[in-house]
Amino acid sequence: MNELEDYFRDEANEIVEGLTRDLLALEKNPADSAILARCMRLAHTLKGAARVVRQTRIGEMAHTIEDALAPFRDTDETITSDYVSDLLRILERIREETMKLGATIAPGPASDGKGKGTTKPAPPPIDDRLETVRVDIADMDALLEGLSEASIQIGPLNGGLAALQHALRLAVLLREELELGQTMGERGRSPRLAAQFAEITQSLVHAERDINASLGRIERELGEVQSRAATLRLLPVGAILGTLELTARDTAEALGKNVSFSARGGEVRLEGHVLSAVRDALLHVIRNAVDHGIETFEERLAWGKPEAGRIHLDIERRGRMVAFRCSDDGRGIDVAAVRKAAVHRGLASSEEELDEEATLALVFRSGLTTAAEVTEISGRGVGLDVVREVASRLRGSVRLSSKLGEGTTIEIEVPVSLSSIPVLSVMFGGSTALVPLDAVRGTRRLTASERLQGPDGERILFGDRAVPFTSLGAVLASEGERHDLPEACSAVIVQSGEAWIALGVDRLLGTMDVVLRPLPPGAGAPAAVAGAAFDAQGDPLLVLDPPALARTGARRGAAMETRREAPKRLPILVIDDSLTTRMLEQSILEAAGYEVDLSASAEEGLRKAKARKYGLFIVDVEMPGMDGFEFTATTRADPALRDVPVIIVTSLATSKDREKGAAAGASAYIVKGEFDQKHFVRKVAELLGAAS
Amino acid sequence: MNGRSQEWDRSGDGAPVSAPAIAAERHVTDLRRAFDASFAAPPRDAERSGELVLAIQAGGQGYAIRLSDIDGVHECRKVVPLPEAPPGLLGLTGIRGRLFAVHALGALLGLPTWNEKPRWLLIAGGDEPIAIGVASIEACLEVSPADLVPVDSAKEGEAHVREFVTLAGQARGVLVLESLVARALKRAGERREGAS
Repeated sequence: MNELEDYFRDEANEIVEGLTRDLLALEKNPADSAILARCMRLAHTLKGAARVVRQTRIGEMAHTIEDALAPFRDTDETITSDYVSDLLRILERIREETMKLGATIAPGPASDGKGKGTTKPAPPPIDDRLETVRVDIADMDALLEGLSEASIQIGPLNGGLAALQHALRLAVLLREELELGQTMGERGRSPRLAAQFAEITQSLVHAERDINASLGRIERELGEVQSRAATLRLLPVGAILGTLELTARDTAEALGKNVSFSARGGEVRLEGHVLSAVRDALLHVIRNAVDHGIETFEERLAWGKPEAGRIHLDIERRGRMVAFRCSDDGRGIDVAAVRKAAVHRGLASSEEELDEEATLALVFRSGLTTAAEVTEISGRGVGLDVVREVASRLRGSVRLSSKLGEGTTIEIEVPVSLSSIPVLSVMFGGSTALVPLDAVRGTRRLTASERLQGPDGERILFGDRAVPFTSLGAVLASEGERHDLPEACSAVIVQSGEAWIALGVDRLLGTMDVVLRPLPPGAGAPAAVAGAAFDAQGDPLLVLDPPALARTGARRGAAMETRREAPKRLPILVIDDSLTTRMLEQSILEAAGYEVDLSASAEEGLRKAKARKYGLFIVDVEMPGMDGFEFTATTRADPALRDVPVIIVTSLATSKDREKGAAAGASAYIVKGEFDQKHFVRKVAELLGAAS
Repeated sequence: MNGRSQEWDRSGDGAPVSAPAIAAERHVTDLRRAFDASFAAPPRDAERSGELVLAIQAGGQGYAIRLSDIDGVHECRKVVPLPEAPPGLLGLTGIRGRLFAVHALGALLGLPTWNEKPRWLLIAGGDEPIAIGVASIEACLEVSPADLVPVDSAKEGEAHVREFVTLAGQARGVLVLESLVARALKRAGERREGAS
């Protein structure tokens, strides 16, 4: 119990700190409903945590704060400074209570919840906690960054070693050449030279041997330290199971119910702050399950259910995610009642507009409760809102399924975040990517004939299953880029839920453990990428996201289908005397899926225009020989070419030039200094669409 | 970032709100930043009072950047491309064990010839740092505050320039990195239109 109280003290301090800050912010912005909601959630969390360690006084005070804030959420009334001051005074008392709690924890038998009010100072606890150090996660990250930097510095050392080995080989060769080629006149000097060479060679041999061995040892040791440090950052879920069980028991006790709690998967490890946020969410889920889900003893007997309600938590690692499934065998959610409550609270205008899924999703909305009366434990419509908020903050998800009379399951899926995961390293088109190993069902060496062409794209046989096949290059390449697989390639077969996909790669490089890092700010959220890890040189490697890969693969298949129909679209002719501009426009247009021909002069452009049917001309103005205005005018006068629109792209920016372009018959005029790729592509699409 | 607030109680009037852990973390971050910056910044005399600016090239154009606006300058090593990247987002790179998204400065400025290989990366963006790729760094110079001439009205396409400075006889726009970083984040889909 001491350990639990320690956790509580830390948690309570953090919450009080957060609440103080938020209440002060609310005082300044009384109409900010987000701050108000946060204050209520913090008070709610504190109330729940206090109940777990049987700090009823703190629990009551937190309840008072939550209660006092509720009217401001439900009405238009805004909070006043005096009111905030009152709440801060209550917080101050909570703080005093918490400090008192810290000072009175006495070593010895587990607390029975009584006699906590004494203020007798306890002797400092002497137990094995002296062997444990609490480390801030930021310090842990700094350590990991330092280690990563140290291992990166080994890269150049390896380069130095290679240079030394090369010098050694040269020295040996040089000595041999000297021995063979010496002339009579050189004989006199040779013993001295030979001795010097022998000495140089010997020194190089020693240096190479020592450096090589030490470097190998340093690399191994550093690797070991890195992996240990990375693991230290992760905590087993088992660390929170005690708290959860206690919550279930205490809540049941307070409500006069009988509940048994079980859990599986406590060995799954994840990052400390992810785990602590999930714990908060699970506390609410469990309290809700006991309060609203599990029926009273009499009710359960009447339904023919066992006397004790059952709450089971299943923890499972799914690639970069961890799923927490909390199921109860209680009464389930009464969808009709939720509909009614939603309409009552104005969340829906009529009960008809809510189907079952939409109704269940409403359970996570702030302020919605079906509880007939607000109890001290839950029923204020805050609990499940916290669950949704935690899941979204951690970039995870939450799902709810329920059967009336049979029970409810809430699944919270969160990323492991900075966790160490085993991956398969693969190479494609000169790049390396990492596939989380737990999604890999197998690998296969493939020849082109083993890739079976079907109506919905390629498939390969894996066991008795025909798995959709796609080149990893095609999934990861940017628009317009191509990655052809070699005749014989490897396939990595990946499973995600019900979906299977085989990824074609040039070759497999092996497995390793990496620390998965989230993508940094500004990197966007590419669907197929879960994050990145560093290689030994400190360069990033993309870690793939198997569930998204399956989806992206399917989308690509659909896109390829559409692309196959594309030939109907006519090619574009780009005429510009500047190679750079030609290349730039070509790359933009090809990336957007167009076929492009190039000409360096208007004359050449005219010849090409007569030889092939184009959908659009993009032409520069200032060129040696015929200029862009003349080209435009010439094509407008030619019945075969007059319907092909012309875009003038030029550095001539005056209105006079623009008028000249329009007079010549150009459909659009783009100034190079104002060149905007999106606008350009849009204009091209517009004109090509109009022309075809 | 671990989501903690950067504010802490300084009152010291008995309210145990102050969080030594947060303060320590902040201190460590400040020290780390100062340490990194000490490598990026050229030595300067204590008496000098001018502003240090970097003269750089991106997309074939010369610009200036206040040294105080950036958190570090690093040589551009390997950049790993990202799928579905918007134009100008060159990919990911690793600097001292941290990941950064690399955006081409030329693309952020809307220059047509932004697609050049960056030689240097400027780190900017404070708590949400990104690496901005520039083709070359020509010089690091000290200018007096009087040499920085405010621009009256920002023209279309020059919204990221609020001042001009004349370096070696050539007038250069001084870039506002804050808005360029905001543009990079917006392009990556991490900020809504209009957010800065």
